[in-house]
Amino acid sequence: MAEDKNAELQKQQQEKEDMRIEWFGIDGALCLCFVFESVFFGYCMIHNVDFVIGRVLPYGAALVTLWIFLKYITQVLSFSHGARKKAQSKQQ
Amino acid sequence: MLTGIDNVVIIVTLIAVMSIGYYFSKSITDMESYYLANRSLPWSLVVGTLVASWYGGVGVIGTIGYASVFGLATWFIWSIGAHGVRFPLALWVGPRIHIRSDVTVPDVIDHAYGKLAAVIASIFLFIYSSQLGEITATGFIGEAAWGMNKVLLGVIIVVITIVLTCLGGLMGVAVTDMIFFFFMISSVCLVFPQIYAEVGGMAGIRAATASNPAFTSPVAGMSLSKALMLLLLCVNVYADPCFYQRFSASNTARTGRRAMLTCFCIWVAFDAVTNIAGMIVKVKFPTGQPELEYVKMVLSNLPVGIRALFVIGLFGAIISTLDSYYLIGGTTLAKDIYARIFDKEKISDRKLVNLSRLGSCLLGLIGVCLAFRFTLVYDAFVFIGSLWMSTGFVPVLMALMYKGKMTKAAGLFSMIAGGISFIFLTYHPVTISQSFGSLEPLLVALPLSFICWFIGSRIGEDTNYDHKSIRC
Repeated sequence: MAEDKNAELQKQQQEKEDMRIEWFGIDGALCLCFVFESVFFGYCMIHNVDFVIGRVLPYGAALVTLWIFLKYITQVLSFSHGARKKAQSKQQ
Repeated sequence: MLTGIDNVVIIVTLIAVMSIGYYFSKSITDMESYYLANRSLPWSLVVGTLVASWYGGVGVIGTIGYASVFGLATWFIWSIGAHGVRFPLALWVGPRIHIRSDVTVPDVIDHAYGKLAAVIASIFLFIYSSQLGEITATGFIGEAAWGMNKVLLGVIIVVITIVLTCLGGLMGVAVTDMIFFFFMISSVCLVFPQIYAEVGGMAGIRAATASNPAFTSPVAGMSLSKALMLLLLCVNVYADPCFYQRFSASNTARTGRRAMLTCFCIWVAFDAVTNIAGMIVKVKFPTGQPELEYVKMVLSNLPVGIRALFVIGLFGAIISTLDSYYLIGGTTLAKDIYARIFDKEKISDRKLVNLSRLGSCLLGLIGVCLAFRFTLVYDAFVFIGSLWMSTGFVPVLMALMYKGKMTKAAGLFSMIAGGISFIFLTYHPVTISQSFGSLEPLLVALPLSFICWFIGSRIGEDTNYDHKSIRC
């Protein structure tokens, strides 16, 4: 009973912690990244900075897509592997 | 135009991708719960799912079309503005409000405003599920790739989607969406430097459109009315239960928040690429149909085989989007319209499946009949989104957020006023001035819907709606 209460308290504390926005951490950095991208690409479009618009932007976007794609596939593969192992151990 | 080799590549890749999807759907037995309610997705998978499911065929082809009409303003107003207004959703609203996966939007309306309002909302939600923009995009891609009649191709894609929807299963949903997305974005980004250099960069675009300086201005290319309407339309996602379900799939609220913030950073860069590509289309083909010319241009710049992957990516994204919406629409017809009208709390699984199939077929029919009446892909997307927003946005948002008195009249008045004013202004457009442009129906329908909601909330008894019942 006491253990259950403790677990519930811990869960609530964890949820509270998760809700907190880290303005000086990753959350703030991602917000700043969006603002930076908007200002930087916007400036390059207005001032005809062709190297950024013609090269950095598309190749950067393609590289980020590739990185997400590989990470996604790796995660799904490991999840699939874990699920199959779990199913095998259940059968045994 | 695609060659024989391209067509072979399309067939082989399609079979390979579907086999991969089938393999994963068999081996990952609890993938459905993994994606919907188990709250176990790590950051990278939430980013992947959000990016792939939100950036479909309309995201690419539609942005091209709008950019070729409104120029640079499409990125500065539509892209930055769209993601900007969604920041509170990622930071505060998403983590706080988790709608349970077994509670639909009509359920929320039923609890707050009664059965009649729920049935009306369900009908509009059903129409919204037809996703006309995706079918409009299909026609342009098919015309550019094979020179096919767009209505015929629309019918073929709708039939494939209905077959997939009726067969059910998770095949294609988990892994294939991401593969299709990867094909589509990689092709778009890799072909971009070449076409950008061909027009002489930004200076070349400016020189070619010198007669229309507003086209290369950050804000002047779009009328105030259009800009306001687009910004309002972006807020629609605040009342989208599918979004909350995806958000809830993350292992913690912090993961969901960071994944969404990451997506904003990725989308704003993709949007910049597609926006400039749309402007290039305008320069190279000033009188052509922008979406069609863009697909033709990409196909002619990519090597044989690789361009097939671009076409697969676009069609895959369209089919997977249509597939999900047809499922939502089908279930809405069965559970939210049929069951409510005939007072059936519990329908048998067999009847539910059959009604869902009927709903999918009806949506396909609506889609094929209406999709090609729109000149641009985004016009179709904006029409269907605005119609749902005019009727359903205020009642849903108030049911979720407002803690005061809620009556049946509030929901009904709000939906009727929003719906009627939207339809009236769509068919009887009013032009205010040259700078403001034609009055967008949503700009009138939404405030009117709000006003009528407040008037309605003073009439009749409180429904004693329990907010906790829809929150986790």
